[in-house]
Amino acid sequence: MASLVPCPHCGLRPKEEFTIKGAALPRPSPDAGADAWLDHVYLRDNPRGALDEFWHHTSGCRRWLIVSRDTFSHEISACRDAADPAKERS
Amino acid sequence: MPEFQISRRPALSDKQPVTGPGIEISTPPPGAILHALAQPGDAGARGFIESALMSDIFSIRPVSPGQWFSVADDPLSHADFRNLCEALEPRVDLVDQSHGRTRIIVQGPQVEAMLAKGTAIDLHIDQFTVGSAASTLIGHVSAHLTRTGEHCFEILVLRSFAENMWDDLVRMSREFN
Ligand SMILES: [Zn+2]
Repeated sequence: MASLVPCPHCGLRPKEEFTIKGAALPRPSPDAGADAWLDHVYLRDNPRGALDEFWHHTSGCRRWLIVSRDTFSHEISACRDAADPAKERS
Repeated sequence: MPEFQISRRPALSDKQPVTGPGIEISTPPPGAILHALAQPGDAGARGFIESALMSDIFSIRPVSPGQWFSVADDPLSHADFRNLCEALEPRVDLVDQSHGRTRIIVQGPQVEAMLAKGTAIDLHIDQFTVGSAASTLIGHVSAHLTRTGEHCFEILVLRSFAENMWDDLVRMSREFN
């Protein structure tokens, strides 16, 4: 687990200040059907390598962030505000 | 007739200030603490708030994108609070936190070393200059930290955590006094 998170608003902060929600995945369309929604809500890959996750800076700015980290090396490659419209999810 | 009278008092009214060569801990008399909230992308919001809240009375501390605390040493009447709201709405909303949060002042030549036991923020004066502010963890409690002088910090903490924070700070200060 990454221990220092570069919050775009607060700077480098310890992971204890954050709450992790889970993988940041593209949301299916409302009429995508039960199978696609079951997959989206309940089924998760467990990738070895790059992963985008929702992290909430609970004891800091209280913004939702998208942290891009490597589940094997623990390195964080990017961290941005989840409401930031400028960049698309990779 | 109620058997128990509820009385209004500051959260830390029964605490004795800590004085010593390394660290002093005190709590100022209850003043006014206002939480100002704007749209996160509103670049001019801070200047707009500062123009409405007289800068000789209120000092403004950033909290997070679009959010600030404004702190004054004297209490604010409800009428004055309503007037401020009317001057700021609808661009900025104000929430009166005067009774919701408690101010604690920690100062002294060892204050950075003491706070470093509780927070991961780099408090070196080159990194965290006078006037800098941050929401962070101090121990296990969320708090808002502002550097108000070279060796002086103000901690804003939710009222229900004030006594816990005070007791933690007293324990953290012992080795320096
Ligand atoms: Zn943050």
